[in-house]
Amino acid sequence: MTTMIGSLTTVTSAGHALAAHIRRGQSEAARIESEIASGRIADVGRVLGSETSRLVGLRQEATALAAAIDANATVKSRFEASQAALAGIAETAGAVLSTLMAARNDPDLRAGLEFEVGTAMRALQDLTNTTFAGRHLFSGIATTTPPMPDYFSDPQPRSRMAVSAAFQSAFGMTNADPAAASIDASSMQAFLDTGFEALFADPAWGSDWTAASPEPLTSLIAADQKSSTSLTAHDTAFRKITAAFTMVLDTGAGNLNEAAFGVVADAAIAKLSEGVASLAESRGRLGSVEADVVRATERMERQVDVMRGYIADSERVDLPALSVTLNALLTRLEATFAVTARMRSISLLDAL
Amino acid sequence: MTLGSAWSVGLSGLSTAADQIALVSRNVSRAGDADATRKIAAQTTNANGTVSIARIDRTAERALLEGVLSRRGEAGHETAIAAALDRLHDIVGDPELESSPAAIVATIEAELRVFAADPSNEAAGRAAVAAAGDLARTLNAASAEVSAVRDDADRAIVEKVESINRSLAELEAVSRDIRTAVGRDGDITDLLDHRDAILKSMSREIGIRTIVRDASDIVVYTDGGVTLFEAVAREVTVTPSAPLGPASTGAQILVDGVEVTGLNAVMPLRSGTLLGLVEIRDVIVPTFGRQLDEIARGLIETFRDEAKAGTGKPAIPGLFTSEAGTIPPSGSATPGLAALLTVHAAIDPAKGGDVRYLRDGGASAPGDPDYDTNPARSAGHSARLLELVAAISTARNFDPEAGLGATANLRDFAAASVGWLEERRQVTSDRTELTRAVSDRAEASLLSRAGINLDQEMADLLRFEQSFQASSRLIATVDQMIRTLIEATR
Amino acid sequence: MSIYGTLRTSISGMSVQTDRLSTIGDNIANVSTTGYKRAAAEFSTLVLQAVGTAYESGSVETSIRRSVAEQGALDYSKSLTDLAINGAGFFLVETSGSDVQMTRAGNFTPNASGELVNSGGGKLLGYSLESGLGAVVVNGTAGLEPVRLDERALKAIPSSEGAIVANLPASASAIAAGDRPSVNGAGAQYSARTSLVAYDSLGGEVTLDIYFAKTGPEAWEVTVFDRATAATSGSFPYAGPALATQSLAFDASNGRLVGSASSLAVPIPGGLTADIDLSLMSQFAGDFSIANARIDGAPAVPVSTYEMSDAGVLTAVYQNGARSPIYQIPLGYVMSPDNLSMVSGNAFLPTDASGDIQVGLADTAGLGSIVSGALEQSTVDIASEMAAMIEAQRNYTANSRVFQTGAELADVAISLRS
Repeated sequence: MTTMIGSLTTVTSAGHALAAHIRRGQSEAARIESEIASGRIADVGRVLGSETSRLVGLRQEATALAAAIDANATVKSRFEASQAALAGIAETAGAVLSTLMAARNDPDLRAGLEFEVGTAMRALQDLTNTTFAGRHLFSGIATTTPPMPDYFSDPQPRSRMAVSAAFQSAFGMTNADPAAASIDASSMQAFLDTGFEALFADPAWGSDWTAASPEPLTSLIAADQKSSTSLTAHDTAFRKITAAFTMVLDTGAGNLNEAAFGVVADAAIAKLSEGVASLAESRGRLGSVEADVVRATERMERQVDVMRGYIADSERVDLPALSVTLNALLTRLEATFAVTARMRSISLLDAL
Repeated sequence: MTLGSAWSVGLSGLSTAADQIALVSRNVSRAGDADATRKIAAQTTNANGTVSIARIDRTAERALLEGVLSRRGEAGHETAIAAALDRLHDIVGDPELESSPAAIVATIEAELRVFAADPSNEAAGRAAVAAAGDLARTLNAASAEVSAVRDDADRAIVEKVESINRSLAELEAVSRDIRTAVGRDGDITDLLDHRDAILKSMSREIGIRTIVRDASDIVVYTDGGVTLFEAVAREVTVTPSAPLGPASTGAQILVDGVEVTGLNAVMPLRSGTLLGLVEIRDVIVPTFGRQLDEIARGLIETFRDEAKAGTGKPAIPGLFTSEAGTIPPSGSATPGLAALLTVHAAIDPAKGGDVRYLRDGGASAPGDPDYDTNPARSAGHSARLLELVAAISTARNFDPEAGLGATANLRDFAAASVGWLEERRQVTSDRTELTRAVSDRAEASLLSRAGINLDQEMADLLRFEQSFQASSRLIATVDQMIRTLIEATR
Repeated sequence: MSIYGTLRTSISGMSVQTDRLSTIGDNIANVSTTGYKRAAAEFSTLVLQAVGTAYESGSVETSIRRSVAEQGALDYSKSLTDLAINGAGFFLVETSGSDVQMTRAGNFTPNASGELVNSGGGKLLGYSLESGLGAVVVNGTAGLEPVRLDERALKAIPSSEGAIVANLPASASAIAAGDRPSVNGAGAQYSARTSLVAYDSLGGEVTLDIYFAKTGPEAWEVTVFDRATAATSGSFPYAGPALATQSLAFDASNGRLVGSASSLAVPIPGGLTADIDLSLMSQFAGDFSIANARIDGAPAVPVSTYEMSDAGVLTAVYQNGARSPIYQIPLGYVMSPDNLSMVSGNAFLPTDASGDIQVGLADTAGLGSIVSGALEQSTVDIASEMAAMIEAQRNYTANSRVFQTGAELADVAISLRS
């Protein structure tokens, strides 16, 4: 208090000044106390003014990034499930490949081949129809539809009927006809290269073999980085592996002569090899996107940390400075109370 | 000098001392009154040696009072604005609470991102729509509050105008009393104190300047120079405008027939609560309202559905719509839109809608293939959601009159609105504190120069008591002398 | 020399002391009578011519002197109608059915009809100023009438003179000729506006709207309208033409008014033409601000109070603060005031010795001033009277001793025969 109680300053005016001072001091002390308790500026807007819009902007950004991080977690789990399924497919295809290679040179093994490939085909279907959290992983955006219908269902699915129809039109007999033994190697080769091959190309693949959407799932893996985050059943690997399996299952392989079977087996081995290679490539592609997602997530997490840190720094109060201020304020208030009390006692009234 | 004149000198001393003591008691009784000035009796000695009180003066400090009047006006002006800004601040809330429209825009974006990562997850879609509903309600409430603040300001203007007129009428009555009392050579000091008190209370409401004419007659002008009081009170008038529509401005205040507020005022007010209220009603709050309307319009525009290229069909409202059901023209505010903003009923599950329309589009035209981005109804269709997320951060045109620039993206615009408000709050609250401190100081210095000091009064009281005693002793002595004479005649 | 002469002389001595005691008694009785002038007994000897060597004692006679010219002390009171004269002169009063008397007793109070009457029953006389101050009749009391205070009298003062001192903003933009207030068009513009309340002859308020419009560089036009004729909007167009219009020119180098036009003659509707002085107007960069604006005049209101000037002008103060002089209170004087004859009611009448009543104005050459709120005390000093009384008593006793001794001598002479 610097108010002098001189002869010019009246006690009344000093009293008024002190009352206002005490009132203001008390509300100031309450504010500082709450700031010390929370460690945060009590009225951010009033203290920071236009800077507040930056803080609000950063909070918006942080909210969006946090959501993107959450979304990426979903994407990443989907990737993991996809990779597991694809690994299963690769394993199945590999097994079939070795069996096929063995059977190519050992006629004794031809009898069991059809059964084994049938099993592999079922495994392929199951793996392709893998769901994650109720969504089909390889259906593209049509996540509610299983991408691959059952090849062995009764009545036969369109895919199997198409294979039979192609065989019939090429050789004039059904694929189960024992007369197939008469098919020579070169006409078999021609069939595989044309009529059969066409079954696995577009549009036949899309209409007969898979219900998947050719459009893969697209996700924002960072603030504004868009990526395809799924492999659809339209991928070459699926077509080639399916084609290889189908060759063994439904080109009358059981009845073929040695030479024709050789052609079928060679073609199947080639397709399967290509399929496995293509699968590996697709898995690699998927893996690199996954890596992107992980990197983006990490980057965004760091960004969110920086933003939250900046926000906290901007809104933080300087605790040591604040406690010094509070102490000084309380001391001043006490002094004010003391002066008020003293002023009452220094009145000339008492002397009269 | 005779014993008789000594007697009357003593008697005059007694009566003067008694008058002085009466004056001290008058001062003491008003010592706690901030409007009271110290009264001083001007004592004169007459030709025959007697004393008498010629007149009563007061310790008036014209210049200091004038300072208090203008400081009070400034403080009133800033305080009124600060109060209204605090009310607007409650709409925005603390940034930490994330209750501002800006924060909810970000929440919608976040929910859309989560929904886009898994578009077949209906729960995620519902969460996004819920956030949108939250934003619509927040804007509706904010718009209502903006109207309420304006209406309250208008009602306050009418009340203040009435109270100013009452003060002026009181001033007229007091001035008449003063003129009469001056003629009677009477004591006008209490009347002058009363007049100053009226001026002080009025100066908070409306900025005033005063001129003292002859015989303590006062003329009061607004700080813009319009006559408020000259011989008689001039009328301050305003037509009540509440409830104010979003697009309408309130009626302006007239003093003595001259418009003193608004853009057309030739002699505008410069300070006072009244000016603050008019600024709140016609400038600050409408600008904030316009920002809310622009956020609402920006939402409708951001979430609109474009027709497929080549169809020539107009864009139609998507997630957000208003009663009109059309897209308002870009780049200019639609007054009151924030109050009418709703989440499209076709999308809002709470109104029987389907969040599918958020994912696929076409909420306003169900069944029209030109607006349908996902005719196959693929559950994993995220393309449109990703477009919407991108649209939130796409720069678009806003009304420059909202005070936040002509182009910005929706998110930044909403954030800038918070910054706009808080900047004003910061500036105003700093100025409020400053003007209040300056005004307090001005009042304290006026009080210290013109106010009553109990110690001074008590010291005076002792002095007058002594003079009273001395005078009575003089009379007693004269009495004793005459008695001696009378005894001598025995 | 004779014993009887001695007896006669002592009797006369006792008799004059009795006279003196009477004046003392009178003085002491009137010690508190306002305007009372003390009486004093003066003695003179009467000498009998001695025959031969015998001493014939003479006798003493009394003459009473009244010190009318002596100034009494002023005793201040709170009543405005208590009047005192500080200096020479007398109030002129009239008692029922008598001549004009002179008095120093100024303890006047209004009677039922508002006439000012003092404690002696004298009504104060003065000249009415209703139609201006006429010539004072120096050697007579003609034209005087009892002063009458009528509290119900209404009085209005029409405005006749005023002034505006203001700064006109140099930075204001000029207003096109067709839009100026003087044209009185519906959309008239102005740079500043103020208003003054003036009064017409009947005391009616006439609010003057005064417009200032900048017409060009350093050129302004001031236009005055009667507010009563304003359009319902409170502004233009006014039903009547402008009351006055005046062009003003300012000096670009110092902002002061130049040119001959420095005042505005405004014919107040129903009143006088008020001359409003504009000579102190200025034109600087800055806001329109008024340093002074005034116009005289007052509405019709009853009297609030009266005031008396030193020179004896009684002024009525109306409730609106307006004042108008209503009476001139003259003072009477005579060449020799001490020779005035005292009559009942603290009043004096002229005698041949005093000279005739002359009438003059207070505070002019030789005459005192009139003090309102004061009374002239009696000039009696009680101590002097007591002292004189003791002296008179001693003298009386001494005379009685002379008489006693003379009487004893006479007794001795009578007893010689027996």
